[in-house]
Amino acid sequence: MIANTAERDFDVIEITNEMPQNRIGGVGSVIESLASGFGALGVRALWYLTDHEYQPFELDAILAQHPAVAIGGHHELGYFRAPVVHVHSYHHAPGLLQAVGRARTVFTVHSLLACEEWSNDVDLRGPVLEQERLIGSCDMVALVSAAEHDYYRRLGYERLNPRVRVVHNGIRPPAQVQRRRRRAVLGYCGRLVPRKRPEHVQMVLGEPGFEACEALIAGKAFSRYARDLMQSLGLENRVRYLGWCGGPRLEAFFEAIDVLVQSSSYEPFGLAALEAAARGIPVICTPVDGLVEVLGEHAFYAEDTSYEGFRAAAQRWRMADEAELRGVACGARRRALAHFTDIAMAERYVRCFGEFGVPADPLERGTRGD
Amino acid sequence: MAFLLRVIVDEADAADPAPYRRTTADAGFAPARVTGYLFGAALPARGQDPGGPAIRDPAKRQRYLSPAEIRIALDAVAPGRYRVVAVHNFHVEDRNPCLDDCVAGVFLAGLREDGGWEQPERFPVECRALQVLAEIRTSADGPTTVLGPP
Repeated sequence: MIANTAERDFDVIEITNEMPQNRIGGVGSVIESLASGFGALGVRALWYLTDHEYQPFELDAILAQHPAVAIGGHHELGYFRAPVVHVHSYHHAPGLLQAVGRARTVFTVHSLLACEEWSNDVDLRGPVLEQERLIGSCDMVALVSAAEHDYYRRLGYERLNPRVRVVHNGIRPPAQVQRRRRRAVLGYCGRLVPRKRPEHVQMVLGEPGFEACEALIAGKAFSRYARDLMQSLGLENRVRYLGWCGGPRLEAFFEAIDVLVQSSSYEPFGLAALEAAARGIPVICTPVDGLVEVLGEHAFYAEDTSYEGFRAAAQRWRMADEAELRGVACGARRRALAHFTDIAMAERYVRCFGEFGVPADPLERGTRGD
Repeated sequence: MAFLLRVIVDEADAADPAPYRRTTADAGFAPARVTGYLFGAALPARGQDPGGPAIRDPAKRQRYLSPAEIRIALDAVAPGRYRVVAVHNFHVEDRNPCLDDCVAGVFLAGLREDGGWEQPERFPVECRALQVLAEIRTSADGPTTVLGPP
């Protein structure tokens, strides 16, 4: 095991496959926000990285840039103590929960893999079973939206574990907010998987009224489908794939776009939509799952998850007058800052941990740094 | 410094049944034969211009750079014929705020059993082909032969 802390006692041990370093997916972003939220509340967390795919130089960077990190296997978890162990892992070696000793366990399901399976048309039998085992073995399950809780019920998972809490994600509020007056650049941000319908943002460029628009696509995994779509639609000059963006590049992406498009058929939370909303960027999206919970009434919603529905919503955005555009963007931003900040998320988790006797007040825990 | 990021393999069902097949997990992924290798710089781009050669695409106003020299580890490559393809590397988190610049990688595209060249857009590499740089032949015990630009 490698660690950058000599402490052994913490308020919580956060177990993850991913840190905010060359992120694999959205979990790294959530970890970043959780760290800043816990920091603001005085919660002392150990970030325990296990079953990861990082290269040695990346581990060095993680240890240098993030406090209280340990990297090791499950059998070394016993070196640290905390009343609660909070698991974020998508995959882990057997024996994870046995290794936490007497600590109570909270498992955050960042997305239900059974839903990923049907919505992406992929075979995830192994990972689904693994996730179900973990759900059934932990003391509490945290889901990132009420919609996820609904899926959880429909999947029959309450039989596996009935102790469920909805804990919405949050982000550190961005410093800069620019009013978006132009209608020129459509943005997509996220993994390029079928359920997120990244092709819709490209297809709409061929519609009347969008002739002068272009699209920026920030995301992971460029497929033959994406390549062929651009060629068949003749969009090579109007669509720019930016790759897997993080940090300053992600910020530059948000500065460059006039609207964010999220045409998902399934969206556990909607982190990219939240990032856009917090920056005052209007969102065109499907009326599904976490997107509705994050944005409330403040979005250009499609009627359904079809391309035709999305196209109509995009046309409404294009035709919206200045006041409507400002109203949508400001409303979404207010909602984001009121409910979905890093500190709000951290407070929600502290309340969950409190159910296992962890004091919510850092003074009571006696662990506040000052 | 450079390193091997991913390999791609022949699958029994080579045709994509879905546009983005298996992008979320490796479940049930049984490699039959390695037909491609992705190499990329170990350090993610952070905004500094590395000063090296770039692949340019004027149509998209983008250029593709590597933050460090990319070396192909030929000793890790199965003997055979390959196309050396410059790609947009989607496997490294890019932190460069200049949106005109993207991360480059190198994909060694092997010959598939169906006679076609492997494509970097296929799972699990899923990177975008930019330009074929060369064609080479590697052997188990002999030197690598550069067959020249295609």
